[in-house]
Amino acid sequence: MARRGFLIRFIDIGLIVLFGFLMISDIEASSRVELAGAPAEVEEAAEEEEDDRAYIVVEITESSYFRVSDLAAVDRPPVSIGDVDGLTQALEALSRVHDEQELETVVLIQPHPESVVQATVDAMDACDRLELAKSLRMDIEIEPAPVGDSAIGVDGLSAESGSADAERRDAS
Amino acid sequence: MQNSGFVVRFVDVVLILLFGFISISSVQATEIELAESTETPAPLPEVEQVVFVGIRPDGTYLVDEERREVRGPNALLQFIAAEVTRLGDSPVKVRIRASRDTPMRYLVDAARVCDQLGLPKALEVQMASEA
Repeated sequence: MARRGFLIRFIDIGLIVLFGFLMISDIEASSRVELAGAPAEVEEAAEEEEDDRAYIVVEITESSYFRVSDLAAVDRPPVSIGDVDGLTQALEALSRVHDEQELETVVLIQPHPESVVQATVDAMDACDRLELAKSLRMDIEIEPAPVGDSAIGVDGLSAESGSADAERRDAS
Repeated sequence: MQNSGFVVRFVDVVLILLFGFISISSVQATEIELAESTETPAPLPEVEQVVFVGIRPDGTYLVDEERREVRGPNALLQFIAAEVTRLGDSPVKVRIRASRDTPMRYLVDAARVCDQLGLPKALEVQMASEA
């Protein structure tokens, strides 16, 4: 009887140790963000349905601040925002205006080459939270972008080398 | 008494199995601290062969299950091209594991390498619950 009691304790200890290890182990749940294909593929996909869209540009600065500008309201200066909650609120307000005008809002996320990956993921999360179509513009080369490419990947992310932002910079 | 002997053996077998599994499991310590996302949905299983590319904050690429370092997009291109050749006819996908503090330029370079090779690519993020 005493031996049986010892065994039960032994099993108890074994299970406690096992569950202890399970509890302290770092089980990391990861997911993935699909990145769109090459610029040409994205451009083909984006050629349709251009008219009923309004674009919001979210620039991510070198210090990972967000600068939001509405391309439908060019006279309004860009708004600088330091956190994700502020970005979400700004996007929500702008998309509400677009909704009233029966326009679909598309967010163009434009990270600075030196901005950190987390800032871009935060911006994408803000878009997903508001169920806004988004496109990651990766044409962040310092050298001049080739003329003519202005592909926009919607509902996905595009690795592209466009000149739309260069034109915008020129205009401003 | 016989019953007790059976239990002891049973416990022995279970412990041997447990430690066996622990010893053969590859517990891989990674130095990449992924960006956190609250909105990215849970992933679907992939049918393609996956080539992992880690990116450190200093721009070094980690390949071959983070056992090898390569520097620069050209070396990365050579590595992925060799992997594609090695995997033969199987469809290949590249999974980019960038540290959250990695500058975007290195991620863009890796994405361009994938585009050059015509490979689909995805950025891996750590799923986080909303605060």
